Amino acid sequence: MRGKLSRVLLGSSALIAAAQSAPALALAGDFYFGGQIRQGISLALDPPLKDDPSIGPSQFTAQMQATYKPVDSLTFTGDLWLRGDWFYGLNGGRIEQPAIQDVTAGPPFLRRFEYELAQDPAGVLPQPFGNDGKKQRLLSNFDDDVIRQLSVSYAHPTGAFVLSAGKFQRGWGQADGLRLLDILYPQDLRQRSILTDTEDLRLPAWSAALDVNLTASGLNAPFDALGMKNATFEFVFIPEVRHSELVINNPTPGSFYPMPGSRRRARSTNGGILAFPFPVLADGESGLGLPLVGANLRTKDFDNFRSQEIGARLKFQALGGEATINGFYGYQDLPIVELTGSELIIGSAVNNPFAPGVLAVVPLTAEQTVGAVHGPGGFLDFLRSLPAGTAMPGQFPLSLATGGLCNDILIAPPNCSLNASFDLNYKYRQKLVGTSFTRDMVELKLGPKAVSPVLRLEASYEFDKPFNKGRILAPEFIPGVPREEATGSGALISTIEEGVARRDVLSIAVGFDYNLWLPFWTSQEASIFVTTQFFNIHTSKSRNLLSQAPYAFDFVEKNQNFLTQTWTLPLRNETITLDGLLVWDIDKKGLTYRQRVDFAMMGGRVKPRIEWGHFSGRQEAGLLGALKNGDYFELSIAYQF
Amino acid sequence: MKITRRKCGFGGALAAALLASTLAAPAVAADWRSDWAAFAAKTGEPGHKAWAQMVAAPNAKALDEAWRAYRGYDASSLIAAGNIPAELQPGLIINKGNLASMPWLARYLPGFWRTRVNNPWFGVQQIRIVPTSHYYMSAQMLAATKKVAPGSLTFSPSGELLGAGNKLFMATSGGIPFPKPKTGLELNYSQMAHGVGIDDMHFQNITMAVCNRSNQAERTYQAELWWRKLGGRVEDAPLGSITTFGDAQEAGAIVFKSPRDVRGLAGARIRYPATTKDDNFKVFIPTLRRTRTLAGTNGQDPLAAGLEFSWDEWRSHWSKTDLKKFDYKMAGQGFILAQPEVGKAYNPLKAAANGCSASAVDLELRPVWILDITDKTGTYQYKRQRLYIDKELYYVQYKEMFDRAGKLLRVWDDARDFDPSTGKSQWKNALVANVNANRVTYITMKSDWGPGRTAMNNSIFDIDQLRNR
Repeated sequence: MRGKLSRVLLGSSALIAAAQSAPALALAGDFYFGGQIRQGISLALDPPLKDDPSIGPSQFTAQMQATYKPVDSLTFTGDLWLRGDWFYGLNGGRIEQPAIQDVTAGPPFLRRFEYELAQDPAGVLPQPFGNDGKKQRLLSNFDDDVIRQLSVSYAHPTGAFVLSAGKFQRGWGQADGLRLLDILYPQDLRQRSILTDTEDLRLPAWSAALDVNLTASGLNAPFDALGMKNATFEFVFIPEVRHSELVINNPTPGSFYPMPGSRRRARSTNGGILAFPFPVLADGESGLGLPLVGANLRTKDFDNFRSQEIGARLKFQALGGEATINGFYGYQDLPIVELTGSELIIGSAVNNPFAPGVLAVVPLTAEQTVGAVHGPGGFLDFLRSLPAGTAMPGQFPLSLATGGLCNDILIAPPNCSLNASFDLNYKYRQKLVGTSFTRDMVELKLGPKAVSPVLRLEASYEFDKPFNKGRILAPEFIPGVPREEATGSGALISTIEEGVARRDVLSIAVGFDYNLWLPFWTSQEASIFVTTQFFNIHTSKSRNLLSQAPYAFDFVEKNQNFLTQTWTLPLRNETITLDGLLVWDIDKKGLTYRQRVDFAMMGGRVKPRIEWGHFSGRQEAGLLGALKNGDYFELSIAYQF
Repeated sequence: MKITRRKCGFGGALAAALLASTLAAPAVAADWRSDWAAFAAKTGEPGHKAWAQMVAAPNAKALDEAWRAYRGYDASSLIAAGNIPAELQPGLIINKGNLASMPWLARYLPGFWRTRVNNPWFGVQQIRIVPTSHYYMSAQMLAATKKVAPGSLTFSPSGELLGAGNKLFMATSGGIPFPKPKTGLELNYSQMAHGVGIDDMHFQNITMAVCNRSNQAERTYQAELWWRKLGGRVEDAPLGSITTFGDAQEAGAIVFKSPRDVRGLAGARIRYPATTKDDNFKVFIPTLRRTRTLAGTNGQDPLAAGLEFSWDEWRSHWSKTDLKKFDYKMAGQGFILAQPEVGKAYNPLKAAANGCSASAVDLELRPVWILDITDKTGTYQYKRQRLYIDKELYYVQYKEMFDRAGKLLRVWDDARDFDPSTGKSQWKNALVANVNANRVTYITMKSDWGPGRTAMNNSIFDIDQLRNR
């Protein structure tokens, strides 16, 4: 792997060096060639298990971009990049995250095993879980990861329309930080999660886009009559549906369970400290951890070019500002978690179907799994009887189900475990309409230079957005016996019909941009550009809906409110730029802040940067709570050409 | 610089007399073309030769004569009547060895250029005086100017120029409104009406070098730029006023091509002459892949990081005319040495490859009016701006910007890409120097005189189409 990485980097460097030695290539007529190499190294400031700070994400990028315009109306664009992270090699196994509930701790099973984020595990107690991050060291899938843009655009000479086709991304909407209308393209949450630059956060997809200037096309009359001036129409067709890319740090060794006949080795998954942590597995009713339970998470993906998405936007000027009306018919970017079955591993108490001594791996259907967990005398019943002391030897369901092959944990050390199998299903439709409005508020002249703020409004209405439910009723196993109610992780062990709900969601964002000139700062060279935005996301009948499974203890608020703030301050003839980004999840009490200091005094090619990222929040409460141990301090340097 | 200072206390009568004495004294123009031919022959430089040939073209002669006849003067006649020292002749070389021997030079040569001779910061080894050329605008602009009925123009209380039917002149009419300006406001509008010297302008490439005090380029931007007159078009189709954007005066668009981290940054700005209607200003930010509306009132930020000029200094002076915010005063008239508008033949500034130092510069003597624009709000970036406006071209030959303490902060000098045959202008270079921080932004332009300019359409100023370029 390291050899491959080195070859790729060496190849990139050679190409860039060749470009440098041929300055005519840099910008010759209608041909442009450029790129960058960026390398960062960071300190992980707040490791999950309170270890000392150690080497954190150390990401690199090698990028090459080219544009060719044979004629004024035709533009070919190519943009390839290779990204990776040295963290897994540099950290030396110093960072660990909580893993599966530790059965050896005994009731209430709230202590968890540790999951080593930078090296493979010993595989045995007391440290059974780990992953060397091999899959994230280099994002090298050519289509999905390397091609950032490969497109051609034709602009009609009269300006009537522009037609673009290829792989690219587009941004909609006006809001920063949260995406209400900016939903055409999914997000890449693998490397730096939401603190990535917006451009790098979106995942490009093979698309076609038509932008029609209705005035230049002579089609403006009806729109003008309606007061829609200078209207343009945009239509985007995405034949290759992509979903957001994310990594759940899943210690379950069978998460990538090989298909029959496959030589692929079973592995856990690991995306470092800025990936999603493995969730607490606990019974919401009793508060007990769910020992011996792991989770196989498999992505239910789209077949290439078998599904499509479409989006359309009408943009026009009205009421002194610019408005849009948007519509999107596509697919969800984030998954719904669906139980597909489970595997009973006889011979391993640490969920490893390939561990030495495993006697058998018994597949169970979804219905059998629901029965084993929720049925009378099932796993949850047994678990809940432990604190009361009513659990009796001989009642351990795994022991009963296997005829004693699995030890009764009240008598002997456990030797079996259960991996529930879940699909991360991205194939739920997303149906959304929305509108945005932005206006230079010329009536308001504020500050010493009488600058007007810019108002930004955005609203979206999503129909039938799917949610996992955090409270379910188990099937009626015995007629007349009340159905078992389950909350917490147990609620995910359910049928799709019971465990997934659909609701309409109304989201509104109000924001202001302002060029701030400080009255007491007489030598201020440039304005401080600040943006402030408030979001309200209203979910109808939100009770018992999970914000995002598999985090089973974080529920959707009926009205969820966010505040985002950005500021940019250039200093010393803009050779130093301070840039801050804050996202405050008001209801879940989550907060993230990113501070950047960019330096531009080393010429236009070399660009050092200092970046500090901070996350705080309740455990697993929203995205910010999930990343609460992701703090980092990074030094990076980029060479661009 | 030699400046005839007006005594404000004498009011308009003295001002009118002073101006009239200049304007009403047509002199027989010297044979300036012969001067150029002789000068070119003497230097042997291809650029000089090319310029001498361009100005000798029959169309150029006819257009020059037509404007001279209308104005009643030209640069040659004004210089002939200007008591210019005999030593200030074409071919004069100013260098370290003789600068001190010509104390009278300070009346004509701006301090910035005077202090450049052998200065370690953006120094030049020599300044060469070239023959004074005649500049003018197009035949269409002349015709439009002749149509402006004297006395038909008025000003609103906020300083808007109103034409027939009290319509905003800058949104509806072509031509120079005040060819013989008598007040600062009139002079301001004449230079505003010059605009960019052409209805549609296109720079295929504009290079902006951000230079520090060590003559090193901190960064160099490359961009493509379009500019379109929207009100009172007389040269390029569609003629008349383009009302797509409402009662607009002009529109500009820029797309950055390099460096890589700003590549794709695009901005479109539409200027409205009404003081109550702020600019429509949108940018496409590639790192967001999204369009943002920016405050049209904020013209004081640099165009891009490190540049020594803001949107208000685009084309030397672009801050919005507003009597509530600024006072416009004609401070005098005289002559100034500034870069010649010979960009169609050659670049008069011999700059180094990085654009951050120069070996020599050609300057020519120009007759100018002097316009002082003083901030009334107490908050503008400049307390005062002094514009030296060419008496032939109605464009700013040289500009000085003074900080809030009244100290000279920045200067602007440029060389236009002037086409003698058509009277249309674009640009060759612009030099913006911060004399306080010893920083320079040196801009060079590749003007497009071909189909890329004439095929311009309004979609360029739609940011969502501009971003695709």
